[in-house]
Amino acid sequence: MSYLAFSKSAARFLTEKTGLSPEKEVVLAYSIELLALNLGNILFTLLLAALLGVLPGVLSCLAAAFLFRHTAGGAHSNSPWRCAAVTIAVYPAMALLAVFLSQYGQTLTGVLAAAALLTGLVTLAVLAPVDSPAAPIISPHRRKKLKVLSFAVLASVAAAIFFFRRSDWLYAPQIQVCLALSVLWVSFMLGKPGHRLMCLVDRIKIREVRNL
Amino acid sequence: MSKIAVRLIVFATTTLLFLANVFAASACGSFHYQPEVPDSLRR
Repeated sequence: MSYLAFSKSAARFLTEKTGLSPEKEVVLAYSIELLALNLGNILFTLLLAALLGVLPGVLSCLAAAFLFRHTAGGAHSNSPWRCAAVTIAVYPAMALLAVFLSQYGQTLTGVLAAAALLTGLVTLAVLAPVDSPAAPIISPHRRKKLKVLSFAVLASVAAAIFFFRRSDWLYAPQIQVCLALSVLWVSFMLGKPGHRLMCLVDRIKIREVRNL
Repeated sequence: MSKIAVRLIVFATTTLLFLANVFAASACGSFHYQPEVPDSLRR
């Protein structure tokens, strides 16, 4: 199992101090890695959102995407750093687009939300849950459960959009568009185009920084 | 090591083991990256 160095060393420290088996050390490394990556991704995305002035929109995007990714899965990058770059870039960009689109009134917002929910419904019905070789879904029961849960998340997002449509809150139109765009993004990441995009991201060469 | 430190380490370890099960039960642990799930958590 390949985990980042800090996850391995932290897991080794905890295993030594608590006297757990080496098998549990791997489990701890996995848990530490995911916790750190999730917290880091969320923190830096919110920081950029705050700087751009789109914090409520990004919060709604992250909440919807987090729930969808956990239930429906989707395409992954091979690198945690590329994943972080995609997360930090995509959600604030989505919120900025939502600010722009929400200026055009409730009709456009309604059409966009309906289209996104319909797309999400069809994609979830056909593709969800999408697993990866690193985390295969072995049990058919678990697969069925995740599919049902992904529909429950879609229903919750639809309810949230409906709620914000009736709300007078300043950020309500922006959040409606953010939720609709999040559903579209998640639907995109479930299918082949999303997988191709992540392959493309993985192929981008990052120039090595050398000390001269 | 003080008693409080030992208790904190045990608490952190227990919480992390619980979270590992939660992460392993979902289809995707993080936003766009999935570290390899340990064999003992695969289902």
